[in-house]
Amino acid sequence: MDPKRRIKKEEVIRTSKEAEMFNDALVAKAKVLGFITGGMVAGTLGLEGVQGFIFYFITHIICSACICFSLNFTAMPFFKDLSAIMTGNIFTNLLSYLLFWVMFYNLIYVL
Amino acid sequence: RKLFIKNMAKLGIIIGSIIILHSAYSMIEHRKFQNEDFVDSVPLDIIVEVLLGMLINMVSGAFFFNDYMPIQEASILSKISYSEVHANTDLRPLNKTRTGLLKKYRKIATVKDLAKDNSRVNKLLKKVA
Repeated sequence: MDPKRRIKKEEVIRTSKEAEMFNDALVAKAKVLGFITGGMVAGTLGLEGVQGFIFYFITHIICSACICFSLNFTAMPFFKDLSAIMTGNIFTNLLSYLLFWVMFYNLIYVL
Repeated sequence: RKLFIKNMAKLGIIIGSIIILHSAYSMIEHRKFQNEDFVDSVPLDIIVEVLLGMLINMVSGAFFFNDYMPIQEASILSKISYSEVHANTDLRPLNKTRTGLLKKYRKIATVKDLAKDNSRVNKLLKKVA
């Protein structure tokens, strides 16, 4: 392809929405597992209050980094952009994290 | 190779969760020996064990859910036949014509592709032939 040729509006890389949705669902499943382990770790370490919520964001960063590592830090051909993994669905797994955090904290420090 | 990675990831998830549960149990046992007056912080070995289990679990989880699909239409179109392109009626737009869709996907149907399809068009072609 000639680099001097202008790219027209029609000549855009077309992506399949089914595949995008499938890939997003897989990333969400991996994140659920990560946040459950994060909740268990927070409960075991005895984190309270704001510390626990800060640890939530730390687990989100670590989980996203692990997913990017599994993709060898290249988005194509499975994603348009890797930043969508880092910034997408930040608060969707908050309740599952909270459940395991509270459960393990109660098991270790209360009972 | 993919199966091997998936099995190793499964093993990693199991090992990681066992490590975390072991550290939680050891923390419970540690607190039994604490007095009410003096409350010790979390021991370093438990911290290390818990973080190690968390890392193992997260990396294994990322590799376990690694069956991604390529999003580029060209790679998908090369693997499916002509009849499967428009087979999903749920995704078919109502306001677009058949010729418009054919131009969009740019996949030219050959006589062989149409011969596999038992559609009305195929029957018409056979009549013409």
